[in-house]
Amino acid sequence: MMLSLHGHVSLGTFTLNANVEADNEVLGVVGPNGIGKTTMLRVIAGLIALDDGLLVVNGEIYDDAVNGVFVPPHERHVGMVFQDHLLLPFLNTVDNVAFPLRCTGVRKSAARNSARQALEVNGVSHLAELFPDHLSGGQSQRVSLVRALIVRPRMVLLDEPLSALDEQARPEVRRKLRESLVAINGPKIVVSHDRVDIDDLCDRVITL
Amino acid sequence: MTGRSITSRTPRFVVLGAFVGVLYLCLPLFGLLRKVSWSSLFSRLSDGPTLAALRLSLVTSTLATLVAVVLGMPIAWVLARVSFKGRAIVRSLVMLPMVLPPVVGGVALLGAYGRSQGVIGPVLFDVFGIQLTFSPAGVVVAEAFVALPFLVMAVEGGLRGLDPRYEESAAVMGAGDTTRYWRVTLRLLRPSLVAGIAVAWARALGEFGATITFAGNIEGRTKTAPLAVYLLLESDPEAAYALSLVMLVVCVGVLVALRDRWIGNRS
Repeated sequence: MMLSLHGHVSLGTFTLNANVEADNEVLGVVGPNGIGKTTMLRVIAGLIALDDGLLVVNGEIYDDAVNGVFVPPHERHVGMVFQDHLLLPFLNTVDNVAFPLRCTGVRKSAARNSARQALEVNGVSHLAELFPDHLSGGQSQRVSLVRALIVRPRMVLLDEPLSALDEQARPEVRRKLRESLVAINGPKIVVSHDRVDIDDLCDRVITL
Repeated sequence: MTGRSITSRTPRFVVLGAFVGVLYLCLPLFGLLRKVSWSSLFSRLSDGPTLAALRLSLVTSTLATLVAVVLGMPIAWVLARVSFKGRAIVRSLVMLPMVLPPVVGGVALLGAYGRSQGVIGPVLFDVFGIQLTFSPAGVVVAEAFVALPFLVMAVEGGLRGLDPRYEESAAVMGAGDTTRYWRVTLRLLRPSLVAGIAVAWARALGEFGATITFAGNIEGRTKTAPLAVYLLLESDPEAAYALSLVMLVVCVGVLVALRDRWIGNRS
């Protein structure tokens, strides 16, 4: 297995018990509201540490509560789309998409060029110079997808990746997203309420 | 009838009280403006000692603000984001200069950096040849001492108000602790930092008590604009009012500049 998570976390009164395994596949995770789907993604990304248990990704121990191993999020090579997209409000679209590249040490002009290319490929180059507060929900979601995948991450975590898109745009974006996901070697986990999204995007579905 | 909230109904005595209060604040401003002799304003200000005091004030208060930023940013971060035992005590100590009588602050600074009796003053002088008392550097020390809490308060408040999810998403995108600090946290913090810098600078510019106690009142070296105003009031009132006017204008300028900066956080 490329990803194996067995463990639990408690946040106040809320407890998540997760047993998830994923290979080089797109894994859909469904389940009722409040069951902890987002929390599970945050554990895998390294934003929450396990209270107990083990998280192994691509043969590397990321979180081992018992032995005190914890790899911080910036060393996990994750491509993630958050529910609220979280584009940095002080950067325009190009610089938002270039941000992950800049973090890996790519120079500004080179990072911007790659970002423009990626926006072009994904059909959103017209948004390049806009700031997040001028993007619609659907637009910022698409930009945030481009941003998450630009560094060729070793795993991909998508939290409701298409929820802000209107019905018309959905099938097309779904198809493109599926293409991009399949091209990435590693576990890809998609959390969604929308059964159609899940069925179209994922190779396998589990219920949390 | 549109449904107006009951809280928009204001008792008469509150309106009256507010009016008297605003009048109380504005009357001295009017008094100052009335006393300024506009015809001789420039000749008063370009007078050697007056100009020197003004220049010294601008330079020292700017340097003091720089010191406050360099020392205050880490303090604000620790107070806002690191939980440790005794944090409330540390915060109280940091905020103390804000409520402490400035003269007492000056006396305390003498106790620390005084050349002969200070805690580390003798070492500074004997080993490094640095004397802070009665020197422009001492003015900076005194001003930074009183300005620091204002910077810390603004930045700590700003840090607490930040949405942590932006920093989280930056971390997931590969931004390590240092990168995140400079490229995300600091950038999100900009409005608070600008506000903190402005009030710290204004406070440093107006510093009187700690400065005269610790650094003295040497023309061209430690006699800042507020000190000059106080002393000129006896010998040359017109110059004192002219200098006061300059400081008033500068401070109003700060407030006006802040009004735009506080809204929105795009460059």
